[in-house]
Amino acid sequence: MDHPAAGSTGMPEVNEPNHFLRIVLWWLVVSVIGTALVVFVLGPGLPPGNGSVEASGQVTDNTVLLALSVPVAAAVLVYLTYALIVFREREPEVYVDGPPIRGNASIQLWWLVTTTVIVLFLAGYGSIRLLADGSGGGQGPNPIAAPAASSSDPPLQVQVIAQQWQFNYRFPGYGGVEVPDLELPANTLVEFHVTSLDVIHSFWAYQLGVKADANPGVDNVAYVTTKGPLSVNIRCAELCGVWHGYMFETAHVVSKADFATWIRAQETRFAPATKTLPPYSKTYFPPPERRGG
Amino acid sequence: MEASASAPLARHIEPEPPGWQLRAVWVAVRLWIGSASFFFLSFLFAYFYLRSIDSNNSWKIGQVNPSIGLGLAIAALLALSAIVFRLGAMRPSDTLGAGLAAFVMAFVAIVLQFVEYTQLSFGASQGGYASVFFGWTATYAVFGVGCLYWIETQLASLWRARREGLNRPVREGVPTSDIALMRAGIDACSFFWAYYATVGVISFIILYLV
Amino acid sequence: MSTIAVPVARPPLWRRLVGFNLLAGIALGIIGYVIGQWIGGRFTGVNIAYYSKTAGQNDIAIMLGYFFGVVGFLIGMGFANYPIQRMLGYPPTLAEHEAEEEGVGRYFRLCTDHKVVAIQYLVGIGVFFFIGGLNAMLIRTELLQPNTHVFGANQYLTLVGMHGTMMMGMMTSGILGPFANWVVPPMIGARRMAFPRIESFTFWLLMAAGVVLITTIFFGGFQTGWTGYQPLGDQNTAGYDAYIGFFALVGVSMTLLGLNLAVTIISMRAPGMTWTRLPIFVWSVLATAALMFLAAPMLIAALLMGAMDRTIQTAFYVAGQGGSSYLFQNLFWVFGHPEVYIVALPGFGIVLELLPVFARKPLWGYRLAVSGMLGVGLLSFFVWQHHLFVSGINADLRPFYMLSTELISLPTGFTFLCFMGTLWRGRIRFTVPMLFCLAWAFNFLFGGISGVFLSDVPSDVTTHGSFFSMAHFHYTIMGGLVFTFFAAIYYWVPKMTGFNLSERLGKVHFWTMFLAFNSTFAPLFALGFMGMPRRVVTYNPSFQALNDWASVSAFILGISMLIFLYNVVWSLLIKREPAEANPWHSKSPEWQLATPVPVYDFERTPVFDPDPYPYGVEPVPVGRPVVAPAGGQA
Repeated sequence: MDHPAAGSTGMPEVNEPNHFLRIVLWWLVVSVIGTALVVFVLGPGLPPGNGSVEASGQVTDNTVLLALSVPVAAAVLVYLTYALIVFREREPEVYVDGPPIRGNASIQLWWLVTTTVIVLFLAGYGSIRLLADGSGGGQGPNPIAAPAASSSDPPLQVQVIAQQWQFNYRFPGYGGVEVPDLELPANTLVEFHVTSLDVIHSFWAYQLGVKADANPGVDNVAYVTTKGPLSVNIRCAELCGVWHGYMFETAHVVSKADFATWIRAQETRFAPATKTLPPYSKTYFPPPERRGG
Repeated sequence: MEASASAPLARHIEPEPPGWQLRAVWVAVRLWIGSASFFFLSFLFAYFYLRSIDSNNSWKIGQVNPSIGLGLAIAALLALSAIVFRLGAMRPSDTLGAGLAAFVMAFVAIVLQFVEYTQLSFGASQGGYASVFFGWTATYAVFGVGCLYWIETQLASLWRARREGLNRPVREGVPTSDIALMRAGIDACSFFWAYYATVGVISFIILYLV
Repeated sequence: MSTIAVPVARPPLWRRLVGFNLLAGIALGIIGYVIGQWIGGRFTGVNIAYYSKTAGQNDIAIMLGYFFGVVGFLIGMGFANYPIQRMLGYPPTLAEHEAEEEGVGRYFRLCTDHKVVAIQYLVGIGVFFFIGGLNAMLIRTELLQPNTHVFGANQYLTLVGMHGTMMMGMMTSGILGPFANWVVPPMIGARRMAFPRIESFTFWLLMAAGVVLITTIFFGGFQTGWTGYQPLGDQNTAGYDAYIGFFALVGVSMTLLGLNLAVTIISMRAPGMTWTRLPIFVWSVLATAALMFLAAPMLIAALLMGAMDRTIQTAFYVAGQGGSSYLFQNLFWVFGHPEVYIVALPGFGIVLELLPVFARKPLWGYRLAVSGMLGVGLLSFFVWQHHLFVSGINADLRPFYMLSTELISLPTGFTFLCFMGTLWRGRIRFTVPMLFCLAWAFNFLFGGISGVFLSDVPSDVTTHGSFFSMAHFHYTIMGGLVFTFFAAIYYWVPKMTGFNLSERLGKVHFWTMFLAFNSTFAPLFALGFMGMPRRVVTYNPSFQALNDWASVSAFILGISMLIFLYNVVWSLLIKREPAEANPWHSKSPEWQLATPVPVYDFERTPVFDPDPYPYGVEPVPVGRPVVAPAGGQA
């Protein structure tokens, strides 16, 4: 660090300890302990859990981000703590100025290089993770990242139709039947087509790690690969009007055999309703009404 | 940090440096053009965005084509008005006459815009294009009314200055002579008016021709 | 000090109440509202008697009512006088009779003194800040239980919307309004803003806007939150008109405030005040002002489109008729993301401006700090779609927006580096403003780190739209802006008012606020991670413990604000202990003015020396405080 002209601080230079070294040592200790805690203790419990392949991927991602942020936060906090204790004014009655240090080119350069490397790593890592399988997020009508499906097992298409204030689910592969509750088969690649009939909603299946906005007139595709049987909390995650707070329900991931039984039963049960429904489409436009209060 | 501390307390307030307000007017009109550009860019964005999405195949519902004649007349009047005013502003002896001509043309253009609304064969609900057409032209015309006011103030001060003489004593707090400040105002006004007319021509090309 | 004020006999009270002032403004505002309603009613074939019964069913009448009401208010305040003079051809002038008037009256009318406008801003924005804070208290009261128990769903959403809208709309000018208006002219050596009438106009327009927003409760409120997403807004009752009116007026106010500040800084710097000598706070104001006058017009345009959808039945946001809900999201966030930096950047400026004073050192890395602020401003126009990662829009652009969003942490990091560098081997004094600055570093650090989770698409899938993002922006905006807002209050109010704030009460306020703030918002990160969405009136019963913890902490946070209020009332209104000219021994130009500050600030235009932060340069005699020369800039 800079050493100002001796005497300008009123402190003898000889006894000045090596602040920089001390801070670095403290930082090392704190970051190593903190990172270890994050990775091994906090990491496995991070959201959204291991309900699906995509959800597990998000847990990994969250762990990486948290582990990376520990040394960064530690650097600032250790420095601040140290500076506030060591560089505090011990005689506040007397106004004495500190050394006029105005910058240090090499420190600024190192800071710039370090933060740039971190940022580029984060963006690169995030992009790779995102492009690998879409991470469960809504990708619009032309998805660019889909998880690989086994050729014998095409993805199960489920259309999520949001409206104020409920979700309905339509299965184009099963005669276009529309059901009010959702069940999904285990260990299957599911292709959600999320759309809305009125305002913007957001389909959030928490344990599956799926979130996709439902826009009127838009087909928003999200992929998820389910794992074992599971209860899934579904909530609307975009403010959609008065009863937004009540727009939640529970879905279930069940074994493939159970799902087959269930969907047959639904087809029979809703057969009369299915006939009156409009034909299956990626989007539906309700007739426009007068707008305003 | 400050001027010499030894000077005796003055009984008078030193006026601010000459040229500050002239520079402020010059800078302000340019930054203001930045603001206005972002405002109209929003409509430009809406135009291309809705056109490219063509939601529900409803970019145009039915026959949605405004008459090119009126649009062309509006754009031409605005362009001519801007050229006249800008050229007039550069020659002090001609400013008042040119400004009056520009004002009349601008007034006619804006009246024509409102006349057009009564002649249109389509309504605002007829698709994305109709929405953008109404939204853009209406806000543009209202903006134009504000510009008319601005031009009017410039002409009025010119007229009054010509009648009463230019070099009256400067009021308290204004170090610049009236005449310089007035010329700066006219320059700023004509500059903005030229910008406004440019936006008008661009919107004519986009709304009527593209 | 001598001023040009000439003592005149004060006219009687009733005479002083008549004229262009707040009273006339309110009266003409009400008349204007009725006229607008009447025109709107005639226009749409319904008479006004019908309205009083079915209030809020005709959007055209309500919008016209707001418009005419605001225009009437401004005419009553006297803002039409000068434009009419100009129409009649009188030459441009800066002198306003009001500027020379002394006494309390000038705070209630059009005043062109930048110091008066600043105090108007401080009080006016303070009032709305407290109303917004009260809304937050009510929100947290409702969230004490997992089901509705105090408010209904509609009331709750209206509270959420009003809290967000008021805070985001009003606090945008929270630092620029009071502090930039006050401090920037003396810092650059000017006595006034470039356009003093417009300066006053921005304030009174903001107040009118605030009243418009509050009237939403008479029209059924609005259920859209501060983002006002369409087409939900198209569908809302007439309360949404108040939202449109408020935000559009705030947009106009912001645009003009930004323009005025930018023009002043660019064209009215005193001799010697070159770009490299500009105090860092002025740089932050310049960056913020640029964002303001470029971004706010897009908000106005987006809201006008919404207003036209609701009145003349255009279809900008109606998917079935060729519109798109994405259009609003795009326009709103192209404004909205610069907006959050409009809120954050002045905070950076205040922190870096105050730190040298209390660490007794020059600012470390001046050029780095400046480039950081400009970099943040520039980048903030290129990140907006990170709000739409899961919306299904432009999925292939997500890696780009992930990168650009994370790139913003580079210039933000510059601010942190300069912050840390200035502390290095300083002589740090723990005054109240300094404590708030240090709290900024702590809060903004966590705000920034949590932002990384939202900028990373895979993490954002879970955190988007949840309490996590809510906690994140409260850490950045409340932790970043409101803490520096209070730092600025404790730092500059002795100069602005001429009276000291109590140091002891200030410290009590700081510690209660700092601890309660962290205790309120840290649990919300966990709640978001656990799956609690924003803006819900009900939640999973298993979240109740954390929610109750946050609510109780929020109430303590509210109490800390009452402590501050008590401090203000006690110190500034009751005790009135006159402040020294320079209690902080600051070397910044505005502290070299006399206290109380004369109307014309300084008699001669100052000439600045090369060093904006001359700490530790000339040896200061030990044991003798540096006292600014009395008599201001002389």
